Amino acid sequence: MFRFISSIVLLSTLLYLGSSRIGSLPPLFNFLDPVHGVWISSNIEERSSTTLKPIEGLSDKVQIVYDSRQVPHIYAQSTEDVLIGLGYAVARDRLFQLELQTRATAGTLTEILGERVLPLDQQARQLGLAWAAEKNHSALDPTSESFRYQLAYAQGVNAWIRGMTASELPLEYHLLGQKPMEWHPQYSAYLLKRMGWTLSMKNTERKKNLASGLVGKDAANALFPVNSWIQEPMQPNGHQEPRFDLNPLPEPTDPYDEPGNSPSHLSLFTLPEQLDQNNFLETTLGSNNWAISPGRSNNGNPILAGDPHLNLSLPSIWYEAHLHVAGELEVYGVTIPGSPAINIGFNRNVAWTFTNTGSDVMDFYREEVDNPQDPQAYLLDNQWQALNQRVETYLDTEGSVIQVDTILHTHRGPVDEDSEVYTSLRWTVLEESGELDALIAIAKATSTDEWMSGMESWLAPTQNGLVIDRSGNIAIRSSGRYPIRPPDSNGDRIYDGSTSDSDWKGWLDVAKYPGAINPSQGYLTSSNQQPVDPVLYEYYLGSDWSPPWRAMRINQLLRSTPTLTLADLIRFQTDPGSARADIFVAAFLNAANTLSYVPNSSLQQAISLLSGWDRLYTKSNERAILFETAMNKLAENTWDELEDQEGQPIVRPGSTVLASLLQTPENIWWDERATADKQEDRDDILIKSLGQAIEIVKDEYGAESEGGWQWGKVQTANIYHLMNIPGLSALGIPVQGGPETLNPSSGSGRHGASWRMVVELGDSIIAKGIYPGGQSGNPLSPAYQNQLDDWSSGNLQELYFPKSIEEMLKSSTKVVELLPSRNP
Amino acid sequence: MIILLLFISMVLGTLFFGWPAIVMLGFLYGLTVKQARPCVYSALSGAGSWMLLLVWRTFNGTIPTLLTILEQSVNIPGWLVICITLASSGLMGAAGANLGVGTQLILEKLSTRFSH
Repeated sequence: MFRFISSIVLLSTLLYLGSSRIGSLPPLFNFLDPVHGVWISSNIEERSSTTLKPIEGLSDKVQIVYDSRQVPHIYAQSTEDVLIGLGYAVARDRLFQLELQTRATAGTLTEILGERVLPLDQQARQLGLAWAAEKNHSALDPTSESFRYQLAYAQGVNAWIRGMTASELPLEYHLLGQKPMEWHPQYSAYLLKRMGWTLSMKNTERKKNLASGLVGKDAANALFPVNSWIQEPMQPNGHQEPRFDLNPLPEPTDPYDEPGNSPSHLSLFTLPEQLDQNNFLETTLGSNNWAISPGRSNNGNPILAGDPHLNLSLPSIWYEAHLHVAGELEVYGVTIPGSPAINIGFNRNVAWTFTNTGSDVMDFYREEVDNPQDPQAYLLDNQWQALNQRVETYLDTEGSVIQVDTILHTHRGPVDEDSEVYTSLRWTVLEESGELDALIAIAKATSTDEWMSGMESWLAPTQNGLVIDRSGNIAIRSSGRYPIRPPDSNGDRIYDGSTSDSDWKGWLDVAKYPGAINPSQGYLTSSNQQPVDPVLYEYYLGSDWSPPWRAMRINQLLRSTPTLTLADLIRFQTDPGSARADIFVAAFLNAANTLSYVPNSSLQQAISLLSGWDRLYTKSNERAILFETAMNKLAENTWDELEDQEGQPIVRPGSTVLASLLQTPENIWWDERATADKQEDRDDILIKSLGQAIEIVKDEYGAESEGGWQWGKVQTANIYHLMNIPGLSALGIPVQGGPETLNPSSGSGRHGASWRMVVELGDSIIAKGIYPGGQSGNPLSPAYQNQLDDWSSGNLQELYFPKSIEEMLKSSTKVVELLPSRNP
Repeated sequence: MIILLLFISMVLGTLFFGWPAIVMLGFLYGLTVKQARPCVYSALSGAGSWMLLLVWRTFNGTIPTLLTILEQSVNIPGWLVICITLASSGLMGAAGANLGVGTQLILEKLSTRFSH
């Protein structure tokens, strides 16, 4: 009897341990099963069967033809069918990515990753991205294109999930011990909201608030100005070179803290990286696009180039596809998994791309509540208005409740609380949505005019859309909703929430959006800089714009080359030159020339190295690291007024403000607070920074002759897997480019050109593109990162855009046929 | 012969029913055979069957790449992942057989009591 009982106990214990999650590990026996567990992921052979079970929602046969780059060319008889095909193809290659990014937006990551990611989920739900997406989706007319297209896409995704074999379950699901969730149509709307979160969450109010609390309001306003001090706008302003509107910075004054406006009250509405106090190195996010008119190109055709820069990941944020519906739609480009449309691409008549405008589309309101301990109402025009409550429940991997939050809303949007101070947010991203309508319309456009009309329904995030057409037109416009604020106010402050006078008064008319069509200069560019010269424009669009260094560089290149080729435009995308370096290197060397003493040998070496630098961030360059270190020290030494008592930076202005300060050598901002007995000037700080830099570089990378200073070794791209698993990531990739070059590479190396595309629209279409990664999301697939080498080298691959399915079939590597169900 | 049969059954059982088949077959083996050391044989059959399946996967997939990924994902050496896999099936086979033997003894005692 003892043996029997002990054997039951032993087996039960073993089964319990083998079937339960231990920490973040999946149930062990399921995981290790050589047939059904993780080992099955090693089988990457694709199914030989190409005709699949009937699919719900299809009205006719859909053919998905893959080319040698694993790009699906989807042929269908209706737009709904082609989007079912797109959903199917994306799910086949990127299923885990679809789920992870949806959960990140919905705030349900804890359900697959556990309680450790609860803060991320809480932030997503507090912001209400999914709440807003659900609201938008439920307001859709079921007969509208948006509704039907999101439904079709979901049917395609779910068809893949239901028909997937065990070996096709992505590896990540095995590692997490999870199964894929069903895809709902509104998840596409989640994705659009997430895009808004990434691209339009610009909390300048917080930066100004932090600065104001240290150096006073006037200085804070100058450090984070509404208008850039160097003007090289997207909308041509008639100048053939940048204009320097340099102003002396007002002196720091006593700290000014507006009661109840502590920066911590704005922390929630800030991206996590913006809260990272250690992240003050010159880190650049940026995108570029440019187009030349036929008169500027060697073939007499318009050419467009674009490279949106985003957080890099494996698999990539982009997925290439070609959609074909006879007589209705034919478009090639990149889609974001989850989006039932091509975001950036071309058809037979137009080609387009985007950069982020970075306008100010979010405002904050200090709300007065009835009971700060348990608020039920907020004051508006002397009346108490009920606060809406949204209850958010968080589950763990086993489905148990781990947290319940109640999110408050005013008529403006979600409310955050800190120390019983209540701040509400109004943000265009949480309001109406028309982006999918726009994407569908522009994919069908046949001219720049039609394309611009299609973009009128684009609301958020604001984007600089650049388009060329086969007739030779080039055009650009910053599209999206720009709020009209109360008179005499900009959106760069926290408003009084107790009065409706503080509310937005409407939207800027489309005709007033910054833009240009066929300018006389024969080219158009944008690089996230202030889109329009404030001298020529009366409306407030935003503040604290990205520095115009990249715009200055591309304009310099385009102005200096009268006739350009497609190859030139590709070369410019990874151009190693820097307008920022041009200005600051000259400043360092000028300071060295005015030295009144003989510098020590180290400083002499630094001056000599910097004067011999060609100011190019090539992979083999051995001077760029010295300059960048000197720039970091320069910012640190100059902005000591913006540090806490331990010397840690609290906030840092951009390098444009620093460039402006160079013009006033005696400005008090150059003086170091730590040296009370001496007043430093500009040249003192420049020389000090350079001297410090060479010592740091020698310490970190050895002597210059040892080869450790090569830019390609010290500044690399680091492309992490979506779950930050090193084994699934591509780390330490050398790239050409540095901070504020056209191919920005800086900081952690986690940002960069997410997609490079160049298109020439002539009698035939020449299109090339590349993104860092590959079409497949399966880390074991050869197509997981097969584009990485070309991306790193700045090469673009030819995008195959066949004229007919017959032509496509001749060069296909695989064909999948989706069949309609018998009872549609 | 019976060991070979057990081994083949465990391979087929895993193919069609997954890991619970190892426990069930181990139990049936322990319940029915009157050999010495049934738990050891069942454990060896379990581990051997999974080893065969892993070898089969090696010829039909990319096990080395997967092992590298697993090494960096769960922070343990690839060879240890294989060892844990084989040890798991061995343990399941042994524990199943152990219960089978225990059940057999109980049944024998019961049948002896009833026959008296």
